[in-house]
Amino acid sequence: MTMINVDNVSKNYGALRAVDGLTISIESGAAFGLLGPNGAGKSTTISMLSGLFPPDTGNINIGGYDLWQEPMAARRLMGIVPQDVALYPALSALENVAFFGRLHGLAGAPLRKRCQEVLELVGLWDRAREPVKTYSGGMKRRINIAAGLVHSPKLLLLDEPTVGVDPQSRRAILDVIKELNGQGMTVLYTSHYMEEVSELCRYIAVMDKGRIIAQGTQDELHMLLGGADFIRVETSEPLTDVSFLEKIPNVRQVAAKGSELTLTVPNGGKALANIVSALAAQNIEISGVKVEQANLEAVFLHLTGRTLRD
Amino acid sequence: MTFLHIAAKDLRLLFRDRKALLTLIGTPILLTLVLGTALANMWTSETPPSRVLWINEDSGQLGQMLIDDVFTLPGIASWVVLEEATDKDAALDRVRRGQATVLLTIPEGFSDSVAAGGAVLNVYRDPGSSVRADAITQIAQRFAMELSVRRTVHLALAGQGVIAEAGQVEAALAQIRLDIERDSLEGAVAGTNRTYAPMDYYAASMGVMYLLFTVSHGATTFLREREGGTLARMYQSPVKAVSILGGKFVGIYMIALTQIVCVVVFTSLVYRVNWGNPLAAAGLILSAVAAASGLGVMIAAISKSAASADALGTMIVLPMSVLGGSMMPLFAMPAAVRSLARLTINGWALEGFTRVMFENARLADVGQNCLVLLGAGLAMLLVGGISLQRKGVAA
Repeated sequence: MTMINVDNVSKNYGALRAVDGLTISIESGAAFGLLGPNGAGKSTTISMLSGLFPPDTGNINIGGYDLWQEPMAARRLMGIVPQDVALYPALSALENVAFFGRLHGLAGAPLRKRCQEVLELVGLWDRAREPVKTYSGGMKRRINIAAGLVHSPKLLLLDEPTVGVDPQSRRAILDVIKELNGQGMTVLYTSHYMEEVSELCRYIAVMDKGRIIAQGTQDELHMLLGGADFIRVETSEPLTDVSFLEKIPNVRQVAAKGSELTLTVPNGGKALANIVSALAAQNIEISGVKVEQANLEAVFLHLTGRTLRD
Repeated sequence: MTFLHIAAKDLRLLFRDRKALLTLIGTPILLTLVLGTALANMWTSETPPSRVLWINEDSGQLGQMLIDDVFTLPGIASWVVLEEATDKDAALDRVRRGQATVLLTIPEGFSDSVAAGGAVLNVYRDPGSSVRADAITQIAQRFAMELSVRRTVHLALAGQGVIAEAGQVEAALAQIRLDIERDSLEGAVAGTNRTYAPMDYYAASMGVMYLLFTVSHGATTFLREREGGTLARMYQSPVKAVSILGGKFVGIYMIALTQIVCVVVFTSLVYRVNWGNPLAAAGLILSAVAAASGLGVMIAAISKSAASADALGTMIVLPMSVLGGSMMPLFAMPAAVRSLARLTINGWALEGFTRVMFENARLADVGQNCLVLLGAGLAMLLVGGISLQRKGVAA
């Protein structure tokens, strides 16, 4: 069964085309990653999928319900975790989660039970009665997720849920999402962190400037590179002209950001010597080198000529 | 009933915010004490007497008796200045411009018409001075009523031969009336109008002013929800937008009601403020809170951010409070300012409260005030609500 069906959706903000002809289909129970840099249109997509505002063109169907014809039925299926923490700081975690549970029609004993379950799931039941304003950033993020889960949604939309959190909280958040997906919950996860999307999602769409530029399984996306590797070089000073590197045989692509170079090559081991020599010949001091196998970042670089962090 | 959850949450948030509680409830209580004490003098020796213009076209004795004997009674003369007018149009113009409180005209044949049972006195009032104008009107009405009663008695006595002729009624009235009316008229004024107590007035005026500050605070909470993402979260739940907006309105209403009820209870118990007839006071409170809540929704609809709502709220509330009599009693203001009070929530609410507190007015007496306040609140709620619904979660 298809849980999300987005058909040729576009959204403009004045002259800016934030989402351009978006078409995706997500099966029930899948974990789908929407990967792209900041400003790619991911949050606008999540906002439209959650019914905050309609697209200018195109259709959105959630769990068999047209989002704008049957919005209440569609919303009942969804749990939303917004990018920014959307909680009441003066209320406790329990009060926050319970409030959003009531908005979904929960009450009495079932509400209390679900509040405890989701707060235990995010590991904060023991501090559930403390005001949210006393929590760390990572803890607030976890409560933010709990508030989106309290009504047991079939579909969870997460918009960059780990931005600005400590590694321990990030790990906890990713583990929760994996557990939920393992239980059969459909997950749509947006991020500009390639590692998170790689870990969580079997299906991925790469988004840039409002458009889906590639989508498929991770293996299918890697194949776009034709077995390429990914060499990262740290230089002592920022480079402005990298054209000499593009002339090196087998170097497919070069991207420079500050003092970091990212080169796409078919075989990292073989190309590395030529790259180091070329930099030395230009009297450029190398402070670090790393060879990585093909990954989603290389895919994005391959497709756009830019890194995800640009 | 989802809107009740939203309203209850807003109320709970207010009670967690000690700073807001202190400002919205503590400050009006403190200001009532300060202003009620500091400005008490203005309410006694410095309260300006009311100018009563009069034109007597009656050739009989009764018309002149109202002027010479009734308005000179000690309990009335202390706050009334009588001035005979010659030109009715000019006198009316002075009343309209607030230079006099009332114009009293005693029509030709007034004495005869009393004897015939159809006496009419005309009172033209300054709309900006309703309290004093009401009192003067009551004196005139009471006078006419007393004459009518006496006429009936004397006609009956004449019929039984106790008085020689019915035609002597006017003369008989002129001889004996004052002994009776001195008591009844002074009683009418003293009985229906309490002495104006500054503490009472400022309890009402500060209560209403801070009611407006409270709804302004309510407007900022709405916009903070929009900025903080919780409003979007509500819109993403299976709750209709109208329920969300309804919940926010009820929340603002409940917060404002809580605030003014706290002020009323505290000032009643501690300052011994007399809020008058409980039903009338309750009607005024509920309708004033509705008007103020409508204003809060309008401020939220107009403002783009919580900070701008805060500034806009202050820009609206302070001038409205000055014009509406919350800072200075309306009687101490120029006539032009007094007429502007009718454009403010404070003006309508305070006029009602002063009548309830000082004139023993009942709910029916302040019904117009309640209806105007309710109507204004409903109109602002509709306009603001539609605007907010169109905006959705967008700033």
